[in-house]
Amino acid sequence: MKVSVRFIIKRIIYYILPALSIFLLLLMWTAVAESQKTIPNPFEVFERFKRLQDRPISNTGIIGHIWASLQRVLKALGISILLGIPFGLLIGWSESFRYLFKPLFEIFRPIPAIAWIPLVSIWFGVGEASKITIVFLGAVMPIVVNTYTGVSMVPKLLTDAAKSFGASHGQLLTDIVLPSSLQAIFAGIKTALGIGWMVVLAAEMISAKSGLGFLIIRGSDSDDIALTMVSMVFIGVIGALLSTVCNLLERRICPWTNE
Amino acid sequence: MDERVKMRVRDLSKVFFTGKEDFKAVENISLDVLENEFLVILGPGQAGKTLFINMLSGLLSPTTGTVELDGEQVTGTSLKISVVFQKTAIMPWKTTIQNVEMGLKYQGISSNERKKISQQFIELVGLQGFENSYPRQLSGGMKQRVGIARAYAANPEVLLMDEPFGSLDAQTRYAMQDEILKIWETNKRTVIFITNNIEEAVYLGDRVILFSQRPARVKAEYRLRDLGRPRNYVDRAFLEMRQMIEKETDLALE
Amino acid sequence: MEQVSVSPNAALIEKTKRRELAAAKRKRLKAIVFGLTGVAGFLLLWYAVVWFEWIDSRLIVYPHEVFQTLASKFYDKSFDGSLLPVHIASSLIVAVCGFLMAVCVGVPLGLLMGWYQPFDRFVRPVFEVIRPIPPISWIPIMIIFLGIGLQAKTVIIFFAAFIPSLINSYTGIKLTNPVFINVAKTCGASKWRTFLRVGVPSALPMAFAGMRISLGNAWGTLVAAEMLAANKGLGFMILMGRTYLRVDVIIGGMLVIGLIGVLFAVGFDWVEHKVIKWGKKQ
Repeated sequence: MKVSVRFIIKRIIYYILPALSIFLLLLMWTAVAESQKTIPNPFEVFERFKRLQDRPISNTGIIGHIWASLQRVLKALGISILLGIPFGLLIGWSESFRYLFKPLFEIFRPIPAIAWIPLVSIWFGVGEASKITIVFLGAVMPIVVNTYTGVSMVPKLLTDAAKSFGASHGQLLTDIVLPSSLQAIFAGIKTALGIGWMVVLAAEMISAKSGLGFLIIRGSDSDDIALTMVSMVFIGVIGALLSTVCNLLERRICPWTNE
Repeated sequence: MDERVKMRVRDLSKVFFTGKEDFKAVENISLDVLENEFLVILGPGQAGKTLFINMLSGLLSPTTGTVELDGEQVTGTSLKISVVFQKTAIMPWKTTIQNVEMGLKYQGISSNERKKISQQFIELVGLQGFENSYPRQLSGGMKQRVGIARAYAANPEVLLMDEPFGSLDAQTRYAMQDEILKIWETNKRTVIFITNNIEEAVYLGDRVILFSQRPARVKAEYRLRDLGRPRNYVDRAFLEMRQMIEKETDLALE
Repeated sequence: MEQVSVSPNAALIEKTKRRELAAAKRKRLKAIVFGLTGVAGFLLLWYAVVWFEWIDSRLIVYPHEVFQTLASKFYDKSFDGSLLPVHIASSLIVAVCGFLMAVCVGVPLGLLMGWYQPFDRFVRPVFEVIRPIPPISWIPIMIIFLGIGLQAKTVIIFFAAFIPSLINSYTGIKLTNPVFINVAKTCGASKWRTFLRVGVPSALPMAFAGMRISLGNAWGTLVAAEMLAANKGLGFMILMGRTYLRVDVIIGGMLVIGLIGVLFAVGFDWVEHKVIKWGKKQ
């Protein structure tokens, strides 16, 4: 009898605690909002979201802005994958290529993508191309690094086995090295997505005419903090969705991995 | 019985020149391998047996000495030699049948042909039904059987097996030993089998060559044809032979 | 077939040894030569681009001009109101403070969350809500509370840095080998002691990996924060460079930012090395 009472109490705590903490969070938020006139409370934020549907900003609804940010990230990610993976494969696989180009890469790598904004905006202006370039510069780094790390970690046993069965150099690369590195490459893509999402927002906050980052600044500039907060919520939601999608994709593409 | 020499090893050594001291792993091994025999190489752990096998298969080049197959020197990997590796060397992203057909694929054999041949060997090792399973769905013993099927399917003249049953539990090990003999008897090839287990050596081999501790050298050779087949672990002759070998081996307690 | 160990091939071995060592030396040489060639080639390309004006001459400068500007910024206040060392110091202070705070909060929090279920259940929802929101987006709100300056930036950096530390510490301690935990239990250790003696040490490698990521994040986010809410610091400096079309300042700033990032990584590895050594002695 004793055990089952404890069990029930444990179960209750299990469900109550999360609810409690969310509740406390909302409470704190509202408290802060009341004390600081400029910060809206949760209800006001929701209201703003509803009003946004009727009166769009820059002639685009919230969906339009979400898409503006998203498509920049996706385009940049696509380019990063197309250019980054082969580059990483070459660095990992070919000694000559590695000796020639890895030092250069390692010089560019530590420069944060956001630090490129001034230079890129001088050279390419403030249009889509410059934003996509900046996101690309952020996203391509983890993809290249993870790719060449994945290549270097292919177990020698597996390449030996393939060699002993007569695999040519090219077959080794496509049939053994590439699939073996796929997991690491995917981890790189996930990281790149996360970084890309952050970078696109920073770029939009600094100078843009559309997108969620732009909305944040717009809200802040026009004392419309509720707008800022609506955008922040969406940013969070989209960010979480992206990483979930990535995880799902990984399970599809690499069905052989252990969980 | 007129036995041809299939592989000839002369003065094979492997020395590693790292840092200050030269590290002698394999020292002056010379031996003959007869056609279609089941030769067991027995040696304590860490003795350099894997290096020896890698030199036989062409994956590693020796410091001195030669390896000849049918009179021709072995300079790199050859399609005539297949290897079954110590730890699972089957590709985790390939299904069973994709793994088994690997050797055939690299030889350029058409897809249909490959599937047919691979299917035969999958059945030979008793894995029918698991053609489309991934390695993570297979047990240790099954994974090794995939490795064996793969090695056989590539149609080699010589099969090198590097402690293939080392990581299996005792039960599976005994079963696999019978398996491998059965396969060998229906598909006669030259087999060079490496182990550190005396019992296994006496159970399997036509001949047993004993390696010393590192640096690996040939210590002794035993002919076991007279024990007949199938062998019995508790047979008198078996146990006597086993004891004799045991006395000769270097104890590998470091 | 008893083997007699003959060694007339001692000479052969020597020959192979010399061949292999020579090959290794050539490989090392190749690495250095190729590496230098790559960098030199890039510099050459850069010079060519400026010389032949493949990019408008207002938008690019020669490599050596970049270094000249950097050197001069040590004493020339020029257009953005501060000297280079001042910018560097400002950035460094914020980055290091934010990072240290983040680690001091994030690592223990992560460890505790991984060890005590109720704690996890309580903190987790808040964390999962905060996590997906990139730290930079908090800037406008932080400006409202704290204005432009040190505090706002430090809070943003704190956000950016504490998440990876927390996550990795959490994962690290969750991966503690259950065998060790059971050993401690059978020895009668309390949950708290097991936590200190078993959980924490085994989580350290992952925690350190998380801290390394945190440091990188902190530095990157700092640059962004300085572009949006600062009047000093390297991010601010290159932003000003853009306003005044001083490409030499921009490129110079970028290089300094990158260099400090590298120094951070190297320094962090050194610290980690020392801590692991100390931990092993315990």
